[in-house]
Amino acid sequence: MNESPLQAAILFHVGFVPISRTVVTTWGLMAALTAGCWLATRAFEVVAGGWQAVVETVVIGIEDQIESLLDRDAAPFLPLLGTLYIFLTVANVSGIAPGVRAPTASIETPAALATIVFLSVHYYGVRFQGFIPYLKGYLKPNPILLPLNILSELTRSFSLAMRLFGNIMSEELVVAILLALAGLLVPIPFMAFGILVGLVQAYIFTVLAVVYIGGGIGAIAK
Amino acid sequence: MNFSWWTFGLQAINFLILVWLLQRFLFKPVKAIVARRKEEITRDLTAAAAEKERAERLRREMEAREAAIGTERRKIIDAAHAQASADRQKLLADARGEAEEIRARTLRQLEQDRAAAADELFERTVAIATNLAERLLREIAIASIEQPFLMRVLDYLDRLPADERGKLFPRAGASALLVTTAHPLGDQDQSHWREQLAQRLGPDCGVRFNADPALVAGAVLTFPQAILRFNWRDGLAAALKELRGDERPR
Repeated sequence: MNESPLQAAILFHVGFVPISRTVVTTWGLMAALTAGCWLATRAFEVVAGGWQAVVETVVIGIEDQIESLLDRDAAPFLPLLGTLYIFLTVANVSGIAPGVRAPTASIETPAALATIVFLSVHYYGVRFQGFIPYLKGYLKPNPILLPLNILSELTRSFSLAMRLFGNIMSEELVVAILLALAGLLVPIPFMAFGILVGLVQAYIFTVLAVVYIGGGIGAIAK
Repeated sequence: MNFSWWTFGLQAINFLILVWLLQRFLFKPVKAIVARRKEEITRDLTAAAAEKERAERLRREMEAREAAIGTERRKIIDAAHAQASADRQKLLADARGEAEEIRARTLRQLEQDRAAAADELFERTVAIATNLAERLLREIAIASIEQPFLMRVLDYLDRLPADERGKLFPRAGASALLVTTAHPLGDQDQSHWREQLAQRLGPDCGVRFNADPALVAGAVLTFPQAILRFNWRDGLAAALKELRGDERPR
């Protein structure tokens, strides 16, 4: 293990654009998710069978969670937040596969996701409340708090990214160190623990995203 | 730690593309199938509700029909009861009438039987009385008893008007008058009868004599145009006829 775990390895360039391992892994996961979804949903029937029931349960479960948090119809938020949860789950857990480094273990991926969540908060806030009423929300409870509100928006997105990055990266780093020091079987409990951490972090990231968006649209108090 | 803005940008783009891909291949199909299932469930529920409504309507119709049948049944039973009561009354009336008729017929029959028995008793009584009288009269009817009857005959002829007496002999002739007595008359008695009759009927009356014990006592004078009966047999017969005519029990 010669490369830094904090640095994304560049595998190749497309023109002047460097393509890192993180991006390639993400493409692979995207391809696998898309193919799996296509295979799972192409033969959907009204009376659900085995895999269909699982897929429907996952999707409806995510939708119900969003609805219970926002207390309103989750349909406008399902594509973004559902994709976020599914991608994070798969990306976090993908690190246990031999030779695969979880995309979320690279700071760029959590940062990109946190940025998208940050922008989505404003998008949905303006969409559901209107531009001026949404901006007025930053003056509450007192206009004096406007700088703190703006700072809060930035820092919570930063902490969102750093929390995910720190957990996943540290778990992979621990497993890598143990693998280098103790051999093949010792890291297995840590890898299982890593799966749990990955699932929990995906859930936390998504729930926080829902809470932030809910605050943006006025469904949840900021 | 180097932050790759290219990776950052590509990951953001990758995520947005994944949002579109999962929306296209996961969320839309799942939402579509769930919506379709809900639609089918709604349609089935609607159909079930319609079927339930139809069943409810049928149940109400059946209840109404049962009520109508019950009403009709009660009407029929009431009508049957009324008919049965009327028939019973008619049967009772007929039975009473028939019983009354039987009673009247029986009473009539009893009356007829009683009358017949009374008639028979009367007839037997009359017959017995007649026989008894005849037997008693025969016991007292001796030959000399004919004389008083001759006196009665003569008395009758004496009181008979002349024109009536003349009609007894429309034309004169021998043996025109036959005198039949219960006891045979002796010559002296015959002469005495002949003499007395000749005095009242004329000398050409041509009297002949005959005897008939059935007369009991007395005589029968047979004229060409008339018969005079002065004897107990005819007297008893007249009495018997009179009894039957006047004394028959009612």
